[in-house]
Amino acid sequence: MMKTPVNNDASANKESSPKVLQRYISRREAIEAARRFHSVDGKRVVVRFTMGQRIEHYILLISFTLLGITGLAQTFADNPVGYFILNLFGGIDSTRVIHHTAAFIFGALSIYHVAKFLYQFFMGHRLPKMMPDWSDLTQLVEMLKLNTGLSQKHPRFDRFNFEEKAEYWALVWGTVVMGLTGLMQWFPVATTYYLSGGSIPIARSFHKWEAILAILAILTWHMYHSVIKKLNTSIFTGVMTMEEMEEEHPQELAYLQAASAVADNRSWPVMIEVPLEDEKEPEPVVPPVEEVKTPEPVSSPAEETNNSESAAPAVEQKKDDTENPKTAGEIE
Amino acid sequence: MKFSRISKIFLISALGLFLFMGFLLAAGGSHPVLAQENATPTSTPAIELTATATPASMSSGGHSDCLGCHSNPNMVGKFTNGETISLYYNETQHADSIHADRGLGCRACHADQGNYPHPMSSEKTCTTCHSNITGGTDSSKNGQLFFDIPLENPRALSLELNETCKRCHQDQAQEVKSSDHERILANGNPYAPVCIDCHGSHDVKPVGERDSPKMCANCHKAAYTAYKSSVHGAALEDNGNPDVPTCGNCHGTHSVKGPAEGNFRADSIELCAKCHADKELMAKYGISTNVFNTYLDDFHGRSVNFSRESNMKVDKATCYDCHGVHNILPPQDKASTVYPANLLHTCQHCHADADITFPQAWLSHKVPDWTDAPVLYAVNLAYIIVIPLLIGGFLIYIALDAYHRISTRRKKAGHK
Repeated sequence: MMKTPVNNDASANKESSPKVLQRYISRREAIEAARRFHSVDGKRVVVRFTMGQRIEHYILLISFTLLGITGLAQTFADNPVGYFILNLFGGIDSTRVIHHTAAFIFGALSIYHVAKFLYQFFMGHRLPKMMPDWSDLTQLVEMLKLNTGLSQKHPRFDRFNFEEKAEYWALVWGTVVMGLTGLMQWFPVATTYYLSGGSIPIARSFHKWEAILAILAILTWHMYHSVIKKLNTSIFTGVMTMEEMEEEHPQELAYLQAASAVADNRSWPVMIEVPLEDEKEPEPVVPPVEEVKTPEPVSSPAEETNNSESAAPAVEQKKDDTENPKTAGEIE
Repeated sequence: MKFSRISKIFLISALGLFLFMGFLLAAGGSHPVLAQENATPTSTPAIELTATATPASMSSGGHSDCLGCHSNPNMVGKFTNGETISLYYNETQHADSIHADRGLGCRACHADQGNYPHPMSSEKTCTTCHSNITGGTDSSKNGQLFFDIPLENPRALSLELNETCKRCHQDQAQEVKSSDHERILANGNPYAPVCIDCHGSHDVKPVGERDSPKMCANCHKAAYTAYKSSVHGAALEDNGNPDVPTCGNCHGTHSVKGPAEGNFRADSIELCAKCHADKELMAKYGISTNVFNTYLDDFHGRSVNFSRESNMKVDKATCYDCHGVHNILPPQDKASTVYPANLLHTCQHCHADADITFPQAWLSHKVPDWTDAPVLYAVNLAYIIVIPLLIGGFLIYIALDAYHRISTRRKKAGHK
């Protein structure tokens, strides 16, 4: 998430108009920003998700769907549809085995995701982009104003907007609740070594309701925002066209253009100016377009850039990593 | 923009699956078993008595002819293995029987014996009494007259005569074919019970439902002893309670089955529910009828009920796995398997490693309310409030967003 001007960045011209965000970026950030631009079939696109992130989503999609179907079928075993599904999976016991298998995959995925986050946070010095902040709240208000006709100003979304953050954190909450209560039911005897027996029916209740909530949330919130509103295939293809970026993540696009424009600079860090308002469109900066036909994931650019930057002054290095650690390979 | 075919397929299939799950949620339904249970309360008496009783007529079956010989208390039948039975016929026995009421005499059952001399008898039969005619030896001993019966032993005779019952009682004969008793008989045990063992021979009678435990106790002594001390058995023994189940209610009568047979285990939950989900009946004894609902709503019950409906193996706990079978006692009784102090031991039958707090995982057939399970109640309540609020909020946001998008698009189209 791009920070608002009120930041610890060098924002001397905060009061001036038009509003711009001035900040120092490191060479690593500039290179990573430049690498986000690709060309597919002659069209310029921006890489939004790495191959790893896309695979994560595939696994999540499959395991979540399986869990939802097999779980609801068990909960509503009396219902003709539930009964049919249970028989389809070969009975309630084998449905349970499938449910547990999918749960194991889901759990493994969650552990991988957290481990990847921790690695990128501590070893790659990347700040999480999914963290909610005040701008999300103000953008929600702006969005509501726009949709109710009180205002014509469309909020400029950054890497992840509040809709996507809500989705993500709902999933995190759901995973924690479902994982814990699911394990409690999976191993009830072991659970009662540490908790009272009364915790099992409570876990059961949590598991049922949270599942219903999660499935309804996916069916409404997620389906609307990524399928119904406008089919967003970036999680499957990995890329977004420039037009899509301009429409849905203009703030991120502005940063990427500003950062990639200075990628050839020789002295680091470099101050860039990222416009914060629609009125002042960013100058048509043409970033170096790499001649790649298919979008390649930005794979661990941290190591490369760290190596290439090893000769940089220690002070600058510190500044890069602690104050402005935004990079293309963000974590969410 | 372009994206691969696989991605399209994934998107479409994912959307389809989620919509399908939505349909699953939306389609509500009542429990089919309960619905069925309420619709058809069934009770089949052990024996159908349709014909009206006709006055007893001993002579119609040739009684008086037979009594010419068989009123002699010294007549004894001798089997090839040396065993003997009395051939003396005591008229009072038959007088009490249901056959006597219908006017059935000796030949109704002993039709094969025809007239005298009986086809079964040998030449020796005559000389038993009339030894003076042939000058042969008198087979009588101590005044007893021995008649040879060309069968191995009395049981063989019983089994042979038992076939006679099936001529008239065809329905029951059909039912018996699927019984455990018939199976044991077919496996070569001649002492497996047949018609006359339960109903009697000359004193043939229907076995009353309330009398069946004593009848079964003739062989199943251990089961009867346990039953007699159970809450069901004690009520029957004490005051002949008409509501408690007897042997036949659970095991069947002519088609009697043990727990190892067929679907006995799976169907046992319905068996218990037949009475224990009956509000009127349970109100008499102040017993909760939630026992069946709450069982079906829990892990064990839901699994068992599904497996029962789809004829799959039932390996989760049924009613009797916790409450006991013949020795079933009310949960307040200290000897009950579900008495709080005994519960852990009962759980450990399946959950061998279960710890002291484990039994609390079971809510004792209670519907969670504010006093019994406050946390559980609060969780349910919270979700029932939060889910509509949250999803409602999502939907309002979505509706606003969609409305704005559509109206903006129309405006743009209009300008062009």
